[in-house]
Amino acid sequence: MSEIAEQARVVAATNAAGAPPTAELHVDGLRVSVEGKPILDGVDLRVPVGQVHVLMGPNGSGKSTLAYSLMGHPKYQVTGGAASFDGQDLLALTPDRRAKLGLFLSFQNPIAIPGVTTVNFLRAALRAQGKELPAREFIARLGEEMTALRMDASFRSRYINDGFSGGEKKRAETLQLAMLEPRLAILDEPDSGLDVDALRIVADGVLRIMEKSEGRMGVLLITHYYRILENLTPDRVHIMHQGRIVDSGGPELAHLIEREGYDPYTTATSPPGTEVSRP
Amino acid sequence: MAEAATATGVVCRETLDARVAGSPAWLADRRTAAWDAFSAMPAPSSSRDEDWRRTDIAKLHLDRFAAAGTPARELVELAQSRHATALPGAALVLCGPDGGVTVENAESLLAQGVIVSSLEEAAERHPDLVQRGLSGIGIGESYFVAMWNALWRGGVFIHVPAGMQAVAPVWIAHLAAGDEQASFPATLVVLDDHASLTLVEDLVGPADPAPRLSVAVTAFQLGEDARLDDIPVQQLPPETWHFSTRRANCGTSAHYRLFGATLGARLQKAYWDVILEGRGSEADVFAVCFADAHQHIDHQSLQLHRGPDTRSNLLLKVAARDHAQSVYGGLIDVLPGAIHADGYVVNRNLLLSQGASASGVPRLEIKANDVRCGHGTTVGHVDDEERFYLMARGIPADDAERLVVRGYFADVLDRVPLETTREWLLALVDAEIGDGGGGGLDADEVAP
Amino acid sequence: MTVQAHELTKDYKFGFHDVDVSVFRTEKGISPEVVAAISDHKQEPAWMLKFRLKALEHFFKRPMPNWGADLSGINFDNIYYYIKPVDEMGRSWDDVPDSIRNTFDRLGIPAAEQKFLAGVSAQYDSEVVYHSIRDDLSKLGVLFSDCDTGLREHEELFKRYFGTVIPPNDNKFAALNSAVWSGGSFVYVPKGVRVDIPLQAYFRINSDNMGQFERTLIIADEGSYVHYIEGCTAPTYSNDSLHAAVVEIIAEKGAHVRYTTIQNWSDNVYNLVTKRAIAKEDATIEWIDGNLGSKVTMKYPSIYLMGERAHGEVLSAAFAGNGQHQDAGSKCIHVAPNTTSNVVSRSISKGTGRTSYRGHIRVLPKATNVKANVRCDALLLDEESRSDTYPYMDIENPDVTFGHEASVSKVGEDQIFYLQSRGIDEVQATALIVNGFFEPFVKELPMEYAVELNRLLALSMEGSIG
Repeated sequence: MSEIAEQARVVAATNAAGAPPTAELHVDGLRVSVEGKPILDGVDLRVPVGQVHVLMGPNGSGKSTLAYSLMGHPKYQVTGGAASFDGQDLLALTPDRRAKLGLFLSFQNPIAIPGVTTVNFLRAALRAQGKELPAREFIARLGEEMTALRMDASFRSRYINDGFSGGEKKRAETLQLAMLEPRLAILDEPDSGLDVDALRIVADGVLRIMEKSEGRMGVLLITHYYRILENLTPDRVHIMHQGRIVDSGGPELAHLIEREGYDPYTTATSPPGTEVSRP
Repeated sequence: MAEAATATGVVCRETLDARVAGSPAWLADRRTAAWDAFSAMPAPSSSRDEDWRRTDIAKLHLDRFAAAGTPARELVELAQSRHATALPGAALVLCGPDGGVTVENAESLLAQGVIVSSLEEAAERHPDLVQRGLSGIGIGESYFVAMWNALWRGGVFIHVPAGMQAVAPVWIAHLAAGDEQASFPATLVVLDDHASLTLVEDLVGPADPAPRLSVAVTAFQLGEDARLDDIPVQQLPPETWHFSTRRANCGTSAHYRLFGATLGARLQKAYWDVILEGRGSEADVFAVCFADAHQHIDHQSLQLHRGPDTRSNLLLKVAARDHAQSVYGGLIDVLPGAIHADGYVVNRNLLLSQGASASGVPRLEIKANDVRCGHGTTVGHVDDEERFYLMARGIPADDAERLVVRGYFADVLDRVPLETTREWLLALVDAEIGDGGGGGLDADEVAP
Repeated sequence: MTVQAHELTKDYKFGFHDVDVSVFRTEKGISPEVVAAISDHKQEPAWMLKFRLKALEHFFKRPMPNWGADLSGINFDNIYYYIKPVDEMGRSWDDVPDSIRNTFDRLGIPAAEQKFLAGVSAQYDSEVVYHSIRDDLSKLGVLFSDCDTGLREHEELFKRYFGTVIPPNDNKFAALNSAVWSGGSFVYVPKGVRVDIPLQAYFRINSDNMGQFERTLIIADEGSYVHYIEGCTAPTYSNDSLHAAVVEIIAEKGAHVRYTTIQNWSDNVYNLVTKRAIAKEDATIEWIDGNLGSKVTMKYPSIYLMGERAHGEVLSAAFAGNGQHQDAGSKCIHVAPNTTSNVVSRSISKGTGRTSYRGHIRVLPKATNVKANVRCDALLLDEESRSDTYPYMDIENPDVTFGHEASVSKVGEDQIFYLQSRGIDEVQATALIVNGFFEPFVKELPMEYAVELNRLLALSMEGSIG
């Protein structure tokens, strides 16, 4: 496929420029069903560490399903295809093993765990991933990140996601992203339900984490909206429709969507800019 | 009248013998076995039986109640007028306490192949179907069910064949017995796979204060994917002792919905059971109860989850005034293997007077782990702020209370799926709240 | 305060026992002679012997409860009703025989005493073997001793309250306790005295086939405050032991009593306890009741709200592992106007464990403007686990705001997934969720106990995930 060849060139070019060889997320022909209903119908995707890829598509096209499947939610049944990260087969691993490998999923609607404070939870997660910090250092870093995300100090002792507003949940997810320093962050609509200010805080946060990672983190950003891309410039944009990636391109593709919406993909028999199409 | 009253009342061996004589052999055997079980059982006791702890029937003397005679013309007309007001398009089945049953306005259903007839007649003509209808009711499972099994008469039988959506609802009027008489209302409904039906069961009687006895069983068998909307209305005379069992056995993916109103009787003990046998079967029970004067109203609900992926939901809203006592007992029982069971109960009580009381126990017994079950109970009174607000707008205290109670019942009554029936129920409840007394027979309601 | 997977071990860590050093024991079984022997050995006043014998009649007369847990395994004839471990109660740990002292050392009692307790009582089988209270408190008139000492040294005060909250004929096991009681605590806090740090009693069964029947009487005089904590453990034997305590609390006008229990009996103990408190005007009673151990527990701490504006709280947590049945709950009886109560219950069943919440809220006709709330949540960890909820209510006054809510569920798949997505494995994730579930209870415990409870939970959680 030309799209993959193109990406391989990008990676090769990056490596040639002196950067260390990078790990990559490989998704090949991934098929996934939920409660017996097929949702993903053969997804192909490459996301190298160090790049920002954006996944766009209309409601119900399968974007979140891809995110959950990559993280290994038991409800999502993989019926075909493959997914690996850094050469390791993801599909054989439990979600915690995937996290230890460096995957991170920022949930669209993270679930509450009553009684478990945010600070205890973060420490448990860091410890589990072998990234435990000495208590003082941990508290200092947590304080830093919370200030950057303009989170009140009381968050530390609040139960994780319990009674959080939509905006608070997004910030708490971003805080975890900052603390856990994954190699590949899958951000499932970190922008949904946020007002302009909150959006900027979350987007700035992600950007800052990207920069701090110095090319050691890749991002797969799932979004409906163009707005967040004003803050985060993607390397690649992928369009998903009916469980497949139907188009890929540079940042200009996102501009095209902004202007024309998904109509060209949902109505045209042959979407622009791709040879992949559905009957 | 098939039998004469005896010194010991209608609940006696002679009555059984008369019933047995008029029954086909299989039913005669069933009646006899039930009578034997009944005779061997002590009456429920509030000191011995947990179920009856809050409902004392020590003052019930069965021998006081004679066999029922033919119903008064005024009562027949009342029942007809309720049907005409609430759901004139429905087939009407009038069941007298003496066993007389008439079916009117059922042509379209009969043309569909639906059976609507007296249960006695169906027991002769469709024994297999009737036995299926009775299969969920144990012969001697309890004192009053055993008594009913032995002594019921008349009754209604409905069968909707597979795949059939009944073209019209059925309205069943069970007429109360006369002064110091007993009635044994019976309703059996069998819905084959993919069949559906809407049913109203109106227990109706005059407002006169003579004691009566009513022992009723209503049983439903729902086949695969069957649908039943069941609207039971209990507005028996104010000094009636009423004991009833209402049970729906639900097959795979069947959906049973109950929309009930409990208004009458001096003492009621009603069991509402939903048995979710088939995978994916569902039951919704929504009911209101208004009790006043010295009414003692006891509802016992069972949500038995036997099959996997079953769902049940119950909302019972009670308002009690004067010295009325409301008792509620509920059990969500999730058996091993009923995975993904989802069961919920809410019981709300509004106490309107000093002297009114609410009690009970909503129990959960969960023997499967992948479930989501819960219940909520509340007891409260009319909020002073609410009352004050309405009065500040010029509404007298009594009217304010009525408005609040009506509002309290609205979220249940609004769910009743038939508009004219809903309106009628609202009016019925309004009248109960307004008249401060028991039964539903106001002079102006009786057709001239 | 989180459970770590590597902390998990299989053993009940208190299952050890000492060699028998007892100095006196009654013969096995129960009879008027045994009761008389106990009373005689204690050199009690005649009225107490009479009280005991009358109670024994009630015990013989009353049938076993036919509800709740299965008690058919109890053989009343195969139990020692009184075992005296030492001749003299110690006032210093040096006075306690080495083997017994060693036991309490292993349980961490002397260490805790030094760090954060105002007084300690340690009961070993039938008698309190060690007892102390801080001097400053005894100078203020605070009494803290075993119940026998209370009877001996403060007979008038003792007699005025003893058996008034829980009469001997209350139930079969209260009757049994009333007949053979020994040890326990007697606490009196004078008017206006606040005991700001907790008093602790520790109950240890050591002997096989033992019945422990301690009796506790706590009197908080007007405007006083006291926090009493009890803990309990026993060796693991193949024979069953019986623990049937009676606890009576009287909170006078404006007094505040908090009673915390961390019950961790070994799984051969039948724990059948009657606990009841009376709250007078403006008084507050709190039962903080944690049940982790025992084979069977039946315990429903009760509060009678007798005075206006009295307030009651019951916060209970239960954990039932394989073969355990925790039948626990609460009762709040609102007798006076403007009284309030709040019940929060959390329970977890694991393996073949069974938890039952059994509660009763009663509002009597004269109790106007009552507010009562009950919230019960249960978690089921395994397919064979079972949970029941029996919340009785009787409301006889319309001027009430009563609410009850209950839920039963398993640990949420989505919660586990969320934690796993952060790198936490399934066992740890479950432990975290379980800890969180008990958090409302744990946060009411003094820090040292919270840490201990979480550790006990971690032990109980062992092997909960395949």
